[in-house]
Amino acid sequence: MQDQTEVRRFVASPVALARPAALRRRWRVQPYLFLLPSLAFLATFTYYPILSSLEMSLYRVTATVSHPTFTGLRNYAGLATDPIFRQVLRNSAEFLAGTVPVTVALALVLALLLNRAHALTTPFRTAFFYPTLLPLVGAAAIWLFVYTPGYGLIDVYLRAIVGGGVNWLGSPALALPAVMILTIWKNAGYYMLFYLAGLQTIPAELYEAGRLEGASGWQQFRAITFPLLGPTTLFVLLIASINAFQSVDQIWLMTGGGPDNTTNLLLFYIYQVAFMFFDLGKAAALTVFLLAVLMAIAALSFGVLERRIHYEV
Amino acid sequence: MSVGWYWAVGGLRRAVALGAFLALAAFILGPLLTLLLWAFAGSWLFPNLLPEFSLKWWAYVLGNADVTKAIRMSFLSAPAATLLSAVICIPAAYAFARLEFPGRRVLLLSFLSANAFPKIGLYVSIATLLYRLNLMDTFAGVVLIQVINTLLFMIWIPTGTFRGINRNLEEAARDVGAGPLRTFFQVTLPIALPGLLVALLFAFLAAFDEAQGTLIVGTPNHITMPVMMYTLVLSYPQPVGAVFSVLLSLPSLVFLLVAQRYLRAGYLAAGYSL
Repeated sequence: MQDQTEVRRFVASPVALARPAALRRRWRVQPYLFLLPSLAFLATFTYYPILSSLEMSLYRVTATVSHPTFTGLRNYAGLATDPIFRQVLRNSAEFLAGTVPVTVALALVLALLLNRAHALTTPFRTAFFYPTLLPLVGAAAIWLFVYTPGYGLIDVYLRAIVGGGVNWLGSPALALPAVMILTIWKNAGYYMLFYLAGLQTIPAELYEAGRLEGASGWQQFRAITFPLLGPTTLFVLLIASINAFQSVDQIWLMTGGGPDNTTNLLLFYIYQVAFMFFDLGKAAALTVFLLAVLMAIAALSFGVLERRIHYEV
Repeated sequence: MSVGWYWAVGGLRRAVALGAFLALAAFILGPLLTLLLWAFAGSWLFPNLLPEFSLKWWAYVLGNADVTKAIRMSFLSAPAATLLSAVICIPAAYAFARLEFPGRRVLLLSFLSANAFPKIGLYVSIATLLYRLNLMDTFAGVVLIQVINTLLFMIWIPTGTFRGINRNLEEAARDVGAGPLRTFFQVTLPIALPGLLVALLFAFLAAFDEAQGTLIVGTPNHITMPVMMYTLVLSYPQPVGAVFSVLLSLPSLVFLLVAQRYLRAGYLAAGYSL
């Protein structure tokens, strides 16, 4: 649809028609000149490293081997029998399932609660958005101290109520949930912003029609709000899932993957294998694996997103 | 009777909504309040419900030469990365928003999807590359690694901003004889300024936030604040880390105060439409 208006404007504009041929040709090169610096940077620092990881994953490259030797798919086969990798996969799946739905639901609730004209709306929106802007390391540190026995907020108050300090981050059962809570806290305000933007696009007449038909608040939400927020929800789910797999700073600062690998997530495991065990071939294989997972998620959601948007227009 | 029932249900619903809201507010604001308490806490031990007031840890943190060096490094590298990012990305964003050319969608998608690449995995190859270029443990290396974090914001928000500007304004300027550069600087840029400011601030925070890449590239002499945090948490008393986390969160607070006027959800959402 946009293309049609483009064409119409182009045809209607006498300036465009009067433009000499040489000038028009220059305009065709110009977009690529504009893109060149950023594309060169992107290629050097993201696409080249990815290709390089693909290649490195086929070699045995460790600190103890002086020359990389080609080993085919052995690094990948090694992952299949690596018990830590299996645990890391389980942790990552748990982290994904435990953070994404809760964060997105929380964001939707916050947006619905704050999508009204009230003197307190803006201050609360701002306050809820603030955790998003905090550096992840800073946010992780805040929660690290909140959880710390004998120092943090939770402990000081819980001890008064329940008695006995719980070492959240030191317990194999509680450490991953504790990191999840921080992650939910950090991201809910970010996704809330997308939902607030989505809510603005829903025409008020729909709600008026709903009210005339006698629809209750919950019915209006089910029949109008939630379906029309579909593309937003899908988009937020995509970003949230990618973020869940990209989580590393909080693990690095709060638990170091422990206790006993119960909080070791995929990206942190790559960090360990590459920069602590110096098994670069295995780290590359892990990178390629994670990339495949992320691209599959992205392709899936973009496919659905595309279809949804076409239906709506 | 039935009216009374209606009001009772309405009141109950409102009470539930208020309760939910207060619970959420406590969850989100609680840790931020702790941060505030820490800023001035000397020690905070059971069974005190509030910490004892003191600024001694501030003096301790700000008197530590490693800490001040990290603060300086952060406030030099993050603005440098933001500016470099703006210089290379804003022309691209303009092209994505305004010009029609083959491959536009694919290229825009390649910028957006690069953010989904597993960063730590990339750092292995990037470190090798920077090592060959003699950029490991240099200021330039740290800036480059931070720019990677900013690309998404610097492409996506300005693209949405430029797209939101009415084309007729630019065409009107052209029609009265302004060249493309003059049109850009006198018409497009002033209108786009709030959106670009938001992009710059987000890019700054993204660069400032970068921890893992800077740790790998900048160790041992080019440590930024997030990297320093790790050392502080591991080997200093807790109040030091707490005070430092207050310092780490100050730039984002300033951001909110500066940008609140311009910060509309639209800027974030607009760039994502292809």
